Amino acid sequence: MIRLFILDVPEFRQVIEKAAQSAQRSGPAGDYVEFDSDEAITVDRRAAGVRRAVWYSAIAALSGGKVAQYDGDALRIEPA
Amino acid sequence: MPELNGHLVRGVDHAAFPTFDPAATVRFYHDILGFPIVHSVCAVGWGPADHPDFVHFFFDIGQGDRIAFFYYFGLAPLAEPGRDAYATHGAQVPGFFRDSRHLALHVDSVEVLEEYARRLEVAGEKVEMRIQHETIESIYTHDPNGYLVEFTCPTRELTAGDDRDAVLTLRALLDVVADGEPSLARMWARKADLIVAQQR
Repeated sequence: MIRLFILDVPEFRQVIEKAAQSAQRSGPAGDYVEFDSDEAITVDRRAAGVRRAVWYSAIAALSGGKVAQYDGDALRIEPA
Repeated sequence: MPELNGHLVRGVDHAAFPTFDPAATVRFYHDILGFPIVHSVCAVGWGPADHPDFVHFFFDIGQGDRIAFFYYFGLAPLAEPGRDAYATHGAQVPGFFRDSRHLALHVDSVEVLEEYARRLEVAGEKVEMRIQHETIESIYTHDPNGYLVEFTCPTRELTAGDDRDAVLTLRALLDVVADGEPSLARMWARKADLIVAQQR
């Protein structure tokens, strides 16, 4: 199972919203928001409206998944 | 609107340097000198095609000023241990590594940031980048010596959560560096374990 953590701060708020729509479950985990999913988690960068300089540091922690795509278009995490 | 005449910079936001040995760096600045770990950025390499994944981490040096380091995953040492990691560089050293050593001066507002951009441009100097980062907005130029100089204003206050995240980042980074073959993916996985352990 993918366990993705994003730091719960203003600059990642839109990434958090889009990841929550993609992951099967999400919720607070201390200073982070945790996203759990048995299927791929995908976030479209433009749909999230995130600048590139912030986009590439959105992942705080990740287990059970591998980053299949992380470029100017999208972040896609697939089950490991 | 602030008064835009005169001397507007407010000291050092951060002075940044590259490191090949984050464990020794944390031991020196945090464990020995007692500087708090206050902020970190863990990012997939972006911008130049040769830019590796990296961790940018900060120690408080008092009065809100910071010393910062860049650790680049998979980058072989470009200087001998104990030698200045900049002065020994030849032409083969990539630009991202050269520019990781920089001085970032603090300004209080975007208006002041723009005033310094104006002063540079009026004098024919180039504002090479203007970037809204995670928690700061910055402009960059190189001085006549080739040193990167940054002017930066905060876009939000750093919180205790940012600081706790930085501590976990460095614990995870030092663990995967000690294990050998460090990578951003391994660091993310180790950090996930640390976060989950904290939740219990």
